[in-house]
Amino acid sequence: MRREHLIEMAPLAFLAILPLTSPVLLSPFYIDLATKILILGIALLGYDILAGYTGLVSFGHGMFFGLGAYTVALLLLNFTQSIWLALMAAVALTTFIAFVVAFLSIRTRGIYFVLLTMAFAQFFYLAVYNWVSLTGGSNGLGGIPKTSLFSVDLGSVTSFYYFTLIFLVASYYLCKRIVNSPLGKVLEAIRENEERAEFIGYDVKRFKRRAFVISGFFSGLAGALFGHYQSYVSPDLFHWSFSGQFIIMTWLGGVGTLVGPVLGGAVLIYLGDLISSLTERWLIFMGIIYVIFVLFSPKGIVGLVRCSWR
Amino acid sequence: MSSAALITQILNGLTIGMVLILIAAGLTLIFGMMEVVNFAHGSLYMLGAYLGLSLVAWTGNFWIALLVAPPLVGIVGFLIERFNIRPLYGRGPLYHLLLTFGVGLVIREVVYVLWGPSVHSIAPPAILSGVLKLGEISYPIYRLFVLFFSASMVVMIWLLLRRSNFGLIIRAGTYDREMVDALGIDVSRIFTMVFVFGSVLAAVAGVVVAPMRSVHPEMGIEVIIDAFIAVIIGGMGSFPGAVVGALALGLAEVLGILFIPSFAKAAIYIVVVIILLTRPAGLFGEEMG
Repeated sequence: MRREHLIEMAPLAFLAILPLTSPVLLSPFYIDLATKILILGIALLGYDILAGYTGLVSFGHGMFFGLGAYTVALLLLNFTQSIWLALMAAVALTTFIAFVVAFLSIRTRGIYFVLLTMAFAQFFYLAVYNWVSLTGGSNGLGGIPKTSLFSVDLGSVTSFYYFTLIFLVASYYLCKRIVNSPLGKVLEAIRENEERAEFIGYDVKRFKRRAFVISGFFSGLAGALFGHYQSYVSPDLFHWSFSGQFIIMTWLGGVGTLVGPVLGGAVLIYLGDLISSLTERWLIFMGIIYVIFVLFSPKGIVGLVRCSWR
Repeated sequence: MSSAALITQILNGLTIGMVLILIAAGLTLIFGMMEVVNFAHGSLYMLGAYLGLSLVAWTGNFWIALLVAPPLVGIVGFLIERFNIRPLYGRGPLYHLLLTFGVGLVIREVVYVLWGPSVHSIAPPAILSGVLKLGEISYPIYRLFVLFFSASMVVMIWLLLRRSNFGLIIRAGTYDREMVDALGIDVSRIFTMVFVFGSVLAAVAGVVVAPMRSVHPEMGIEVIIDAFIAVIIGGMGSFPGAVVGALALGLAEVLGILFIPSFAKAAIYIVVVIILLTRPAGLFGEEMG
């Protein structure tokens, strides 16, 4: 138990002091990169509850991320200057949409579920793309105003980094609680053997819906933070290739481990930046690494590390 | 709108639909037999178009490209099946989806590296260039060629599935794979052949489409979604379903653009969602798992 706490505290301490090293050791550019990693990490934590613990692969979680981002963008542009109000409204709307999508798509199984989530996401993609008067169409929405919180300017990269870090840490502990709760155990039972879970008497569809809504909640939260941070949103967030990145990051880092997907996201974003400064086609290396991991290490980087420890 | 314009649009829709059948055929056969959802299928179509592009540039002859590019893509398909798909049998169909998604990504990036990001096009062969005039209607001859060529390919696939031993085994495998295995047929060899066959068909589609539409590195991603929709409408695993689904999609796309421009494509996804919810096996598919 002690050792586990230490393993958790070390990265947290690292993340907490990271911005302090700027600009001496790290250029502000890396703080920006780290903020994006943290934001995506929140979405990936929730996604892991669905994909890793429940065994439901969604190919459409970009839609919740996008909905969160667009809601924040529209609210901050048109209605309010309060970050709390914008965040809460965005998360509430996304969670509601996630519930509707879950209600419909959980009826199907296996590959049909995957394709259905993808179809929903494509529907939103095209709707956002075509509803130009509201969403700005292919141009997206720019110039989203920055807000401040208790007189802290959230427009500054460092303060938003800490703002996001608080959300990430809270999300991590929340997800860990969920995973270790009776609910989490039922979800794992469904992943391992759906028929048996049903036979024991669990309402499998209801539990799957819960997992889906939880993951939608976190994707929406992450998207909302992203919309504020980037002060620019585009329909690409809804496109299935962005949803596909969730999958790559999750399986690269280690599906069903919570830490893994966040790590996978960090590796993909960081290495992506590193390699892209050398060659524009950095995805070719990421693609090959991803394929190798899917083939040979089903638990991703975390699985590799665990293997070498034993 | 004039009837001539309408007929032109319907011809366009049929042409798009026919080409889409060639792509969807491989997708649906591969799923039917192996329950593998091949996300890399669009990339194989794209690879066909690019190899066709290079072959036309080297030889100056479109027909050589049409003859040589598909077998080359078939070899790529063979390698993918042998070294990527096969090790994952028994780990569940979702792993194949995850894997082929990555393979498709790699192929796209390889295309970027080898051919660059710019948009290319192939000139149609001299005999097929020009426009056919029939009263008020004028239509590019090459498009008519694509329509008839693809249609005859579709008939050939249908005959292969219905009349040959190979087709018999494929259909039996779609119905009950284990029984086919038990009857002493090497199913894994058939898997490989079906995968290669599907890859070749996708490449044929890529080459014939090249002079009609532009050749660019995102074309695989664009087409795979359409192919999926066609296969879902018709029913995963069913070839007649893919034919109906692809033609319906082709027509819906051109007619939708005529009548309800901006939301046409979004509306198609509503149809897809309804079909997946009410009849997940599609209009022609057998209910599976």
